[in-house]
Amino acid sequence: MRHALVCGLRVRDRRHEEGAEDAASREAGVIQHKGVPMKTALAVFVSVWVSAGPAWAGLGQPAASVLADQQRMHAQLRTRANDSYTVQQIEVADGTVVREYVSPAGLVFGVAWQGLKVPDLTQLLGAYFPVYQAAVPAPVRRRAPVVVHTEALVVEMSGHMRAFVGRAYVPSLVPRDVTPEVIQ
Amino acid sequence: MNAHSVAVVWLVRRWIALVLAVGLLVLPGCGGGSSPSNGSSPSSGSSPNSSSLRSPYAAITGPNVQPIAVNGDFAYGYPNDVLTSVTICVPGTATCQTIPNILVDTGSSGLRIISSQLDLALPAVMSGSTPLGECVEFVDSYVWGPVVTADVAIADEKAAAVPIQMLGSPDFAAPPSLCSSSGLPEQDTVESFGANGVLGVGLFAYDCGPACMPQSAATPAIYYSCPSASAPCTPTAVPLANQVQNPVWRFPQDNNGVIISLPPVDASGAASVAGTVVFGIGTASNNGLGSAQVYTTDAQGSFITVYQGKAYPGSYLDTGTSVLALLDPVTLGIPLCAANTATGGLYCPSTTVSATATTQGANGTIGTVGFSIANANTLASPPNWAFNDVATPFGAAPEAFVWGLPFFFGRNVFVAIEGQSTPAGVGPYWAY
Repeated sequence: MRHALVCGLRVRDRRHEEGAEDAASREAGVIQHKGVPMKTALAVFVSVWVSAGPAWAGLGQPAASVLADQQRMHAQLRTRANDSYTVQQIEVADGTVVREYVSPAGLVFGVAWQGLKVPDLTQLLGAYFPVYQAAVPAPVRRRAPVVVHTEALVVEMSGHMRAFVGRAYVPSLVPRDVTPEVIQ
Repeated sequence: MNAHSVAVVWLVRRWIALVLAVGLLVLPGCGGGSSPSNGSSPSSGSSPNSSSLRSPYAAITGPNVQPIAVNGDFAYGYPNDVLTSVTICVPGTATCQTIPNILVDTGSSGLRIISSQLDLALPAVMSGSTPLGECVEFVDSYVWGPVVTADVAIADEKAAAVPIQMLGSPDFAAPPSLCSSSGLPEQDTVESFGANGVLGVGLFAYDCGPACMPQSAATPAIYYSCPSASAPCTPTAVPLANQVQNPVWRFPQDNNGVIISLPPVDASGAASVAGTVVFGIGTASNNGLGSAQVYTTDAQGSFITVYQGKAYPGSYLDTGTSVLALLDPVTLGIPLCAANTATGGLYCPSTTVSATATTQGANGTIGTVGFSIANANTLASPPNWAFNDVATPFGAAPEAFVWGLPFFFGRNVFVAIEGQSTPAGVGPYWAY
């Protein structure tokens, strides 16, 4: 199952990489942020400082919830967009970086994180947290990265002291022209 | 299955493995022995040629040397669970206890003991006037418990009054929701943890470091102030002196790092492996760097692996990860073992695959590392317990090769602690 999934997507990914420069000019899009339109290429960021404790929109939730969460967040938010998806990058003062990938339909289809510790996945995975917990492999006799691959949800996480990384996405919500490998 | 049928299945599997191995030996051009350049395509073949290693395994003896072992002797152990023993004392006293079956972990820093194994009354480390608790994450679990102070003795070395952590203390507050919100399982029992504790001898002197200090911009939810067993704990900043620390850097001598020295194992594994952890780098006649290459790390303790021209910048060496974690089935062209089995999630190639990658330090050092991936189902047969060729995929970013315990067999690997001077410069670095 995973085989076929990743295989098919890699083809698209390669095309994406090869055409990256063309795509950059073609995909140069407009970001709407706080009502200010901005011409931007793939790697142009918009930064806004917001206040209060970390909270994130949940996987599968509308992108509007990301903006709503800003109010409660002591974090820097950067937005990056192209034709296929938008990335909301949240930088918490403790060094945690969370990226949320929003589809043109306005749903968060993937999240990725890195930081000193694993962030609050009850918030980050939202309604999918119980799915993740149910799918985490029962204790196996090894110590290795956590990898959950189901049709409903993919979660991969690993790390060592002071550096934990992970990502999660909902395969059915990933836009058709996007490879999950962009979720990093 | 009864014992007889288990034995028959094991013999059949062994026979198949032997046939496959012999088959490989007579196939021309199947790798092994040669030393291909940067990032060769994976090929079937035997284990990487140990003679090409810069710092091959060499037995080390001396007063600064502590035995470590991988074998099936510990009831709650698992394959590639590398264990040692540690003596803990009430600070400044001769009231001591030696605790066996402690995991040796280069991926963390600090000593942590499952509380049920501890008979001593150790003084609590306080946050102001309230006891200090800590939530620590490992690769696939979290642990929780109070920070206490102990004298820690290993081999002829002794660290006085070091903050250590007790795990699963019944008299302490329950794990806060910010600790369990990772969704990772709690492993505060011997059975779940697979050891009586963990001896973190990694790159860092302090487990959290400056990020958890009061001067930090924000306090991560790692250390907690815990007023009572029933009241909720709240995240708190902790000065370095009160943080759980790598006992090695607190030794009066031989305190700049360790050597993990493990003999090689065959491609089919070994029932038992006896090695050592050696204290100090270039501090005594038995712990010099020799021809080992020094790879400095970034501030997070990671360096770069390059495979087939692509960089994996989150890579690290970790005795506490029991397998190699790298790449994916498509890139490697090999399948995973069947899900929902004991080997589910591991690679299961029809024949052993060997390949090379290069590792790159932040200091620009570049060196070739060979690795092999065998069929985990074939290896899973008893009685073997130590393996250099078990692997699982990994894909989160920053992308990484996790060089787990299989990497360490057949090598003397140096782990230099941050800020400590060695003959090859200041840590943190790895050398091999």
